[in-house]
Amino acid sequence: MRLKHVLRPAVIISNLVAWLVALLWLLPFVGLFMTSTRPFEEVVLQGWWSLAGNYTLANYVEVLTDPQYDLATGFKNSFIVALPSTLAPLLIAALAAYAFSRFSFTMRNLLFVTILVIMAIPQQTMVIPLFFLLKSMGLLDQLLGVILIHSSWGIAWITFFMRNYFSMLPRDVEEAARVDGASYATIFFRIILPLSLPALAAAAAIQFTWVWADFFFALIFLYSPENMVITQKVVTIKGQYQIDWGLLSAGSILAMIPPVLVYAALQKYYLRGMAGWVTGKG
Amino acid sequence: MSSIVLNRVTKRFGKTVALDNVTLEIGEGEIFTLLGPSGCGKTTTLRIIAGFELPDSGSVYIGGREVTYLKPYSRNTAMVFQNYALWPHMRVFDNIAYGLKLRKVGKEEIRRRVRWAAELLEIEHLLDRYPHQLSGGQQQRVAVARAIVTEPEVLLMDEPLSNLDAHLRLKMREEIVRLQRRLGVTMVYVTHDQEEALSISNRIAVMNRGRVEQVGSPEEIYEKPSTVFVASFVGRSNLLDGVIAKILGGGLVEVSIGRVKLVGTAMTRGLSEGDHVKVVIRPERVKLEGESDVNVVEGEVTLSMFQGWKSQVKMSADGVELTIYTDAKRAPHPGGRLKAYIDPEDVKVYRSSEDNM
Repeated sequence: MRLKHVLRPAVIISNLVAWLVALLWLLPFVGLFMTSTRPFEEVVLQGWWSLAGNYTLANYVEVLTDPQYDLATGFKNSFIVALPSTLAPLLIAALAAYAFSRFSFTMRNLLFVTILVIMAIPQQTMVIPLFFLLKSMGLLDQLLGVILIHSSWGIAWITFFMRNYFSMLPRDVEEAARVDGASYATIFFRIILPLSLPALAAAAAIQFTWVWADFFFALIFLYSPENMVITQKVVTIKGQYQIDWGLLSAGSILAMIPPVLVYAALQKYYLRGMAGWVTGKG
Repeated sequence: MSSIVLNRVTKRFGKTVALDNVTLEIGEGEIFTLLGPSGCGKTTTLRIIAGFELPDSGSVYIGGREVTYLKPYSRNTAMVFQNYALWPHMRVFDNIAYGLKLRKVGKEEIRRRVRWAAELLEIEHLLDRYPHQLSGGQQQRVAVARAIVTEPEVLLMDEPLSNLDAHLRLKMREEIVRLQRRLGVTMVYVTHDQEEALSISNRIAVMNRGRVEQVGSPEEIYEKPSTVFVASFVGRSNLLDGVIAKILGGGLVEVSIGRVKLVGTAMTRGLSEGDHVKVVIRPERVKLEGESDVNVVEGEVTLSMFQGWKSQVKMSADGVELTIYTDAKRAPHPGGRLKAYIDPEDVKVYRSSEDNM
């Protein structure tokens, strides 16, 4: 029975397609990883795809220890930006989403549509007004400025995401608390948020990765070396006259580690957050 | 323990009239059941009593106090939900204790009362578990314990047994009745299961399309359904179309159903000759033996189905189809001839109207 199921053509084909897509997605990473573990000469002469040659961690050691690259500052700044830019919008958006999903108020739908529209605006079109806004606020080349921009960007999509999740939560769970005398605030913090951990974790993982991987905003709003985030620091590894691909790859892989760890830590919730509410499971 | 009064309550959802001028009086300490098909307004009625919905007009009283616009928790009611609505992230103990915690009851007192409720429902051994570690029946018990632990005056039950399997449902039914007797709490019970309603209730309100069709004891509802809807919704019925042939006096009428003539009891006032009527006959009231020469129907057995302690027999008499429940041991075989005897009291005649289904 089990084997029959596995051998069905539909199952075989969907598995093949899934593996194919996964391999295609993985390919750049494999290339990056191979490059980061080879000496400069081999990379330049043979390319990353030849398996023969020397493997070494020298690139990693160099990129971490050579003071001219200063990845440590980049990591520190990235954390300073990414953590508040994940947590603040999460809380604000969850509150907003709850209101959108449970209360009726004037212009609710109009407001919600506005949020959707905001999500659709390309960042590039906003960057000049934002530049002047930050300048007039004295927040140019300040981490706080970038934090504010990432947070407001995050609030829009997380509100949308959380509202959809809240709409799937059964109402009687809340009503049961209301009969017991729980206020809306109590219901939100004691019932709704704990039940929404999967969705919150998913939103946190996505937002953290997004902010961490941002290069565009950082490039425009942060320019002193001591304020640069990791994505900017990685670019500085590329020298002016020659590119040491091995060093650059090693730096890129190091820069990837924090978001990958965040995903790994939240993965258990992440899948459930995407799948939605399952009755009886918490 | 409190009485509940709904006075001319109307509730609309958009253009749909969910409740149409509903008036109900529910006595102190009784089990009052709201019975009807889905969409009849029974759950809306319950939710208005609970305070989850506000009526568009009319008023609600609990224990003589008007509560129409009061918040749910200030009504001193508790509710058991169809899907139990346990909080999945809390252990059973905390699920039961939550209402007491919100009411700022002391720790010792909370422990004592949770234990009391858990013992009543026989779930003391489950207090440390999470809801997803419980079976449906156990979750149900936790939901009931959570509802009674705050000692509400009114216990609202929204189809509490509909997610249980048949065997467990019968068992919980008994336990709920026993629990209600013990606590003396006023219970409003919503169900679409007519058998459940008949067996647990002191009184039943049969609802249809946002209106109350009849309020009465289970016996009254079953024996003297005031409308065709009630007769067909509660219990099994033969529903036949007929015409009044003669008014006999004493509440009796003669009805022609095709070529069959039956003497029946008029359930609608003011019937006159030639009126189109619906005739309701309970299958178990048709007898296969008798001495009377009134209402003897002769026909052919078309179907005989064994159902354990009874058999369901279908007969066709001059084109009239009649379903009969009879002792399985004496059930006739298909193809044979059959004489059926029906007491005029068991032939109930209602005026046909658009509301009749």
